[in-house]
Amino acid sequence: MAKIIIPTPLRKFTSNQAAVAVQEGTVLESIRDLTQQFPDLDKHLFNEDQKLRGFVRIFIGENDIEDLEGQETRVNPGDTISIIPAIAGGL
Amino acid sequence: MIMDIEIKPSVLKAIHDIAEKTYPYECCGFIFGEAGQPLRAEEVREVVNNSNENHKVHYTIPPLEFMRAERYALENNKLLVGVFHSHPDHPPRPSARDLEDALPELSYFITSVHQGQALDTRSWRLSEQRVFQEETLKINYHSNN
Repeated sequence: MAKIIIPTPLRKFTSNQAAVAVQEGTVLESIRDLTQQFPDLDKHLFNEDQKLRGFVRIFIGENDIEDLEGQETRVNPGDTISIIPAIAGGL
Repeated sequence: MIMDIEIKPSVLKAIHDIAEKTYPYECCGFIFGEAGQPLRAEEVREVVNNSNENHKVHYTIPPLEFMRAERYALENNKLLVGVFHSHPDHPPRPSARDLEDALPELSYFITSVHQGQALDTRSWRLSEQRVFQEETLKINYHSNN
């Protein structure tokens, strides 16, 4: 198993758990496992096109997955995935 | 849950000052305070707009700054109440882009700035259905600052 660290504003949807154990695989598969465990989280992480929302930035350890292989980055047993929001918006 | 928010006049002025000095670009930052009903907005911290788009119409607060804000709140026993940003020459209502990237459980303060002058600040929060609802912003004139 790997684990995902949940940012404070989203913990309401994970029964106030700060970290959730998930299946390893790709990053996207691990995130999907998270939203299957906590379905109310899905609409906040994925948009109507089932793509990760713009604010969702994902790190494995201290590495931004955008500097690795994106959502296809391999998650190994024992890895720590962090969901860290980038706050954004505009006119 | 939609909240009432009590804000010190000095905090509202700080947001307006930041919004005016940043005009015609969008400013942004975090709001800290205390939990409760009403929530209390007691402190703001400006963050440099990190958007790689036109800053007149877009803002981004990078993940590292969010991590710092969460840590600051934790270490100082404060609540991360939400974020603020400005709408230069537009009303203080959330746009479609504000909605697309919004997080639940945070207040979103939006300040309209018209020709360099901050006119109005409103606060918004996502509902369970991901619709923005306006919160009641109460200025606490009895506060010492």
